[in-house]
Amino acid sequence: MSVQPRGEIHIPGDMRHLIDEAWRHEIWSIAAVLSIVVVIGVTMGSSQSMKTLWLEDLLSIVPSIAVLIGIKSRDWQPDEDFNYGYRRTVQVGFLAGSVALFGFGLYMLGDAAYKLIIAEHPTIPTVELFGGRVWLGWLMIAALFYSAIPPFFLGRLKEPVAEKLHDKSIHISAMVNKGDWLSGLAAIIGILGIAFGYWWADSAAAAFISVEILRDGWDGLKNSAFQLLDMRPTDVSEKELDPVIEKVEHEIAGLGWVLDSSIRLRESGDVIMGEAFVVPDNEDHLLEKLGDAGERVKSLDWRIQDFNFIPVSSLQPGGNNGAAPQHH
Amino acid sequence: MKPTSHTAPIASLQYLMRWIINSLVIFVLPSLMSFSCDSLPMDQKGTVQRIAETHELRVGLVENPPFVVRDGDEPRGVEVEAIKSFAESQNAHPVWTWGGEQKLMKQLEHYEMDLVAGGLKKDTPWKSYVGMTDTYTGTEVIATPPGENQLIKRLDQFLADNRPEIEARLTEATNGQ
Repeated sequence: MSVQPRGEIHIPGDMRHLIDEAWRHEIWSIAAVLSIVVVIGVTMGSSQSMKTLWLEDLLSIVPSIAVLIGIKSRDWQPDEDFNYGYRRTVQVGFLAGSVALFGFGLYMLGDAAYKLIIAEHPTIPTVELFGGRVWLGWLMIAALFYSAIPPFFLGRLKEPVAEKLHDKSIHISAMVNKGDWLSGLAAIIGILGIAFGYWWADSAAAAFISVEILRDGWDGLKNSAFQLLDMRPTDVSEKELDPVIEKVEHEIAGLGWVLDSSIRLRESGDVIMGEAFVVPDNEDHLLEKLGDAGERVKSLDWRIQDFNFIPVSSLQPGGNNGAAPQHH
Repeated sequence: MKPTSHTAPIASLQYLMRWIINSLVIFVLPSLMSFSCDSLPMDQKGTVQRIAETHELRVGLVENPPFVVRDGDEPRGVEVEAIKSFAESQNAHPVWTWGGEQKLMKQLEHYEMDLVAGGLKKDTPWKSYVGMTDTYTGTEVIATPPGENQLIKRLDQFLADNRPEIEARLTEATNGQ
């Protein structure tokens, strides 16, 4: 006995080119990050801020990979084992990545604080370059300038795509890019501080960058937790409630045959799923009415992909409420 | 919706340009104007300045031929000769202190010495506590106090400039043994 899974997800065709764009952005991000990790790694020396930035840049690959996995898995339809589809694949990766970011952020912050407390005076030597001696700090600054440029542009390219696709993983990827170039700037200030003989500048910059890593980790953890807990739909930055909630409520309340209704919506990646409990005035042509209402709701927004109506006799607890079936 | 997607890259380009110009104005220009490139990086504890004022270069010596050789109380050796010329180039004279590596490195870490010589290798476990020059030949380095980046820069430059002589002296000393 095989069950034909329901709730297939179909993304409108005009979103396709945006998804392709998002894919390209993340591929470029990963290539940029790898080159930055090499350049920073070569010039790192014993600078605490360079070490911290290197780690931040390396970890910023995590959201990019999460987005790529999300894009790859978005065409996987629900099957026999996973009846609700694979939209949460991204969340799984995100949660793991965020734990790593948060942990590393704490560790690096502790490391920077320790170096400030013991007043470590960072030594940055000279290296041989083109037959002359060059202070490694200048090379660090050059590497840091390079490291700040790609994320600066990529973050700004990703943000509008994240909003149009309503994809929180792309939004976080863009935020991480913003953090990366800010951190690069902080590290430059740290190294310049060393150039002018301030021993604490490097560790202070490192502490600032650690806080950036912590914040990325915290945002990721919060985002994953909220989505796993089926929070109501919000905008990509989770600041405002999604206007789609009101639209659905309004649409259902406007149906003539509905006496009373209650809806609940959740996000599964970029798409919205949910159900409406409705109290019909009578049971005449109920199936047709429900079918029509379903089409109306789905036509409100392309993101509403899986929406179910549950007719009940009353919304009061103890009414014939299909939401919580009792098992005997 | 359309206009934003087209203007965003231009807006960010302007933003970046402004950022680069600001950075130049805030950091690079003042450093170019008030400091010649030679005076950067600065020491964190002002060792170079102190040497210039007292004309004394305090050097800890660990016996380790042919780099540091003890001849009575008179030091000789490849590193000793190099440091003598370096001190001269800084308009200072070396003040030698003989001792064990442990004790001298502790003094160096606390800025009670300016240099420690003794044929130290670049992978010495002391490297996380004190500063080091680059390898002046092979794998040998001279230790400096931590964070005295101007001192390291000057010594590195001196050792690089005099590398042929130092290498010749080292070959001579090794053959003579």
